[in-house]
Amino acid sequence: MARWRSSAVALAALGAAAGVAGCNPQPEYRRNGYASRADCLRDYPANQCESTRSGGVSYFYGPWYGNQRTATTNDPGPGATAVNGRSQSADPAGSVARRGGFGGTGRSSGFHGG
Amino acid sequence: MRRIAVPPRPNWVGRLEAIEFAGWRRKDGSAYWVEDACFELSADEVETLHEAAVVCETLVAAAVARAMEDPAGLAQLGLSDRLAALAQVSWRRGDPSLYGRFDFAWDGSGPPKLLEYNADTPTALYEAAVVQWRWLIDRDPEADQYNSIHENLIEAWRKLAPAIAKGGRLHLTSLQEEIDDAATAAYLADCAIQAGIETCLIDIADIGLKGGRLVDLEDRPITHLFKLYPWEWLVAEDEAFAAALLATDIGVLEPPWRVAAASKGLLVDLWRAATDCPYLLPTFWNEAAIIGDRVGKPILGREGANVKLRFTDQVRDGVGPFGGQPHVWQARAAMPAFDGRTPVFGVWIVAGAPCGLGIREDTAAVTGEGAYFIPHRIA
Repeated sequence: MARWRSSAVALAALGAAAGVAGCNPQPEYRRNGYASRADCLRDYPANQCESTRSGGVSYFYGPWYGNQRTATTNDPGPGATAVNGRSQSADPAGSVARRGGFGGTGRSSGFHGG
Repeated sequence: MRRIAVPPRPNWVGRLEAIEFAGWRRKDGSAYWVEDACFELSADEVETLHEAAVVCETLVAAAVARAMEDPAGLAQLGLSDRLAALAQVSWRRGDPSLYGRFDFAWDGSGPPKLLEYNADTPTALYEAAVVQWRWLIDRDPEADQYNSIHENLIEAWRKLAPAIAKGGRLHLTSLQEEIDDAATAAYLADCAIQAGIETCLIDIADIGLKGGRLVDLEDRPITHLFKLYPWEWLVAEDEAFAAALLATDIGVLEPPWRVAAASKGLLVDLWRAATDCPYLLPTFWNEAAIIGDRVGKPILGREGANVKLRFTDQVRDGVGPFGGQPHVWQARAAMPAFDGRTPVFGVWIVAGAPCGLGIREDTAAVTGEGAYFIPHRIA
């Protein structure tokens, strides 16, 4: 009689490590980028917002921190603008990736999958 | 069908952790995985569940097709104008679906009754496909289980692999601190790897916007994205990110049309179109249409939040963030408790075909965040 189950269930790289193993290593440190000083100041004090100018456009960085998002204590600022994605700032000259546009609703509501 | 006590496997925690099933216990330390009991079903009972899912999948496809021709209907299902337009394009283009889960109420006699279809962001996949399979084999290598989810997922990815390879790689995103979501995304990545696809897991908030395109942490363009995150949130959270997602030619799983399939509002249309179907519960927009015990469900709610119970012996309004949504009203299904817990039978659909079962049980009337996963075997 035919079985209903798989004859074998092999994993390429166990559990949660799988996708990471298939991805190039992530940079050890990162920092949040902003299109305006006001956006940066929503996350960090003024002395931690560094301005840079490129191609006639100014944009701003917060301080460096470890890249593990779960280790939020490594993020020296609240990260409100970046994490909650409420900033309406433009993509600054296409030269620095802005992050945090997605995920705010799930993180604030606590409901996501099902 | 019966729920039976079984002795835990020796070193069962170690066995679960050896396959990286971190979700076997919840954040509060309580166990989510049931090791000391299981459900035992006959082959005929498995056939009954399988057939119910086959029929429901066909009915859903027909209902979604009807909805796509009716913009007002899509709005009633909870799709914004923008999402509705996206869903229509996606449907007409034939964007493939990877997976979904029908949740049935069932007492083992008579037909299972469809409670809902998790068609956009289904979770609890890893424990259904892998963890309970390992549990079964550990106990009896000759035993059977309704579960060929794993090989079907790999085969589904294999069919998608040529298109993904043109873009370079598949990104899989979720809220990484949510164990269940992260495990589902990581497991799907594992299956994709076995299908020859290069993968990259990325936290949903780490997706970047650069030059009008969505990029990963190394600023590589995202061309194919598995997202364990609701469509209705993706298109509403940040205008620039949403515009990049919609304007660029990113292949997304689950595709936008799946929101219509996942909407509880579709249950009303399913019932209206097939009142003689044995697997459907009477479901209406109007609460007064149901005389007797009934359940109110927010159309795009999740994890049992904001569900309203109007039972003879219990009246309850569930809490959560979805209370502002319209509710549909579904007749109460017969859901007997086994050892004090009420099971919900989740039949997994991969690439449009049912292929496995995951059973969750809860001491509460609504299966929610406090539910347990209990393995099963075929007698």
